[in-house]
Amino acid sequence: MRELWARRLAAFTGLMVVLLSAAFAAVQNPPAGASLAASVAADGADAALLARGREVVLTNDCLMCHSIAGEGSPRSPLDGVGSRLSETEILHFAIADESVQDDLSPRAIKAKRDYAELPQEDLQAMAAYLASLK
Amino acid sequence: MSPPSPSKPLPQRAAFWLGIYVLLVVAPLALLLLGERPRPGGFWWDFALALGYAALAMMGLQFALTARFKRATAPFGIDLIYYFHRYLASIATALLVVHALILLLRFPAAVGGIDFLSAPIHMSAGWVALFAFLALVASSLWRKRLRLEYDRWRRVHVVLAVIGLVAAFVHVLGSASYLETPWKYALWAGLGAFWLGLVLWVRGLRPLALIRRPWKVVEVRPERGRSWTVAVAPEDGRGFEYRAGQFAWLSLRASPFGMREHPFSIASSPSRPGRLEFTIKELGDFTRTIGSLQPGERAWVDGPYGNFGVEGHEDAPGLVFIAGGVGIAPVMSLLRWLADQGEQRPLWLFYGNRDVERIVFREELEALQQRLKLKLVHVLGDPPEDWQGERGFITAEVLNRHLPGQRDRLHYFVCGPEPMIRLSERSLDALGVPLARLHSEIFDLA
Repeated sequence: MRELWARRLAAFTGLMVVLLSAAFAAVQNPPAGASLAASVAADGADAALLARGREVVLTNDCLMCHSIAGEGSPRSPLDGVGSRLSETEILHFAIADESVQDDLSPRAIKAKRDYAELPQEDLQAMAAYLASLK
Repeated sequence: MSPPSPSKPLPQRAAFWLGIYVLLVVAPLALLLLGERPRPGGFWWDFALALGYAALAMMGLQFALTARFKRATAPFGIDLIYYFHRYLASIATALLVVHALILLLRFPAAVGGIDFLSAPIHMSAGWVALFAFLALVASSLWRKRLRLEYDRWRRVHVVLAVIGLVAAFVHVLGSASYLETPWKYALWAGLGAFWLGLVLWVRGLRPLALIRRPWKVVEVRPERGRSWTVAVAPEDGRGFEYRAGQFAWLSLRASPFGMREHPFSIASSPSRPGRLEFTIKELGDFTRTIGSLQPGERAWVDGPYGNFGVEGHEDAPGLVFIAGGVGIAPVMSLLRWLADQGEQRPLWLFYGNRDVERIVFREELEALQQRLKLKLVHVLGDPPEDWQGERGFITAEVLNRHLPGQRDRLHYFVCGPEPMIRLSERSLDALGVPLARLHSEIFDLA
């Protein structure tokens, strides 16, 4: 009987935790928060440069914190970033340049620090690719 | 808010500690919703992350459950707490698996592969934590099947638990999904430090306190049924307060730091202070060595624990004890104590054994019948041909033949392995005994 109670209480705890997590996710995601639609457009830019830029994004773990077209961490989507920021601004955000550090959390600044070490060509390609996401 | 004192009613104390427990699971996650929050990541993203946080809070609490806090465990019985610990670990691990699966299946690019060489440290730590917890649960649920010796399993258990917890906190603090605000980061970092502090207390400070109070073996005597009674006495001669029916963790031939302690019921009576007696059956690798103990050897006693006992049931018109094999040890403590108190109420003891030669304390029980109004009912699984008594298991029919008509006001005390307790519950239920009058202690914690 007591052992059965231990099992019931453990099951109740598990259920409570699942419900709490679901409630947490619901509070975090109010119904109005529709996700941004992804649109990738070349806009006449150099297709090879964009392809290289996409490769840089994929191979440098950018999608661990960002998402593009539903792929990657959904909290900071890069879909449409090209219509919000210029290519230079994108580059500054990518490497946490001093000019944009006020808009970034300390954790994001830390995470982006290594990107400044990437070859200049890779950074340019990445910025061009991201700027094409409109 | 302070914990209710031990004099408060049991349900009140149990409710208080249950409330604390629920709060400790729920609060660390719920608090993350306060103040500034990160951008939403979609329902499944946030659900998966929240599950990970909550499951980690459950895992951290596991350290508190086995820290043997006397006040917190007393209302439930520490045997129940250990069972709860076991079930909870399986559930928390399952939730961690769900956390990983949702992220892997829906957001593979965000998780990345299992790549310990190039993945960020906090992501690799997440995998290490998950694998450590899976190994922890598997080695505990299937310890006997894996033929993992108890002492070795305990060491593996603690090491895996600490690895899992540390790695999980590296994962959480590194990914810091909801911990952008400094106070939230500090809250979870503090939680991690608290759980690890508990490990340090249980494995470091408490053994230190124990080692300062050594005991010594004063007698080792053989009993029937491949059992031994080991008597120990504190070297400093100071007393040891306990109630009849309680148990203690005993360290023999190993320091309290060695994690080679074992829980045993105290068979002696608190009415005869000066020494503690444990009656131990040769069942495993450690207990098989009990017979070679010599008087004078050092021992350490952590206890007393448990709330299996007759105190608080003074209004019962009679007491019924049900025991199997060496599960008689705490019952013996109770009977010896009741005899010394001059107990006048009628008592029944249903005692199950394989055969007549294995009845531990057979002669002493017969002698106790002269001092107590004790009806002794031996139930043998493999009785001799001329056996006139009960045979088989302690079933409802056996109980029915010996208990009086008005049996629903008696209190029942069962000590034995889990299947025996279940059978007793079913049997007493069939006889119309309210289960609130049944008190049990699961004998096999390992």
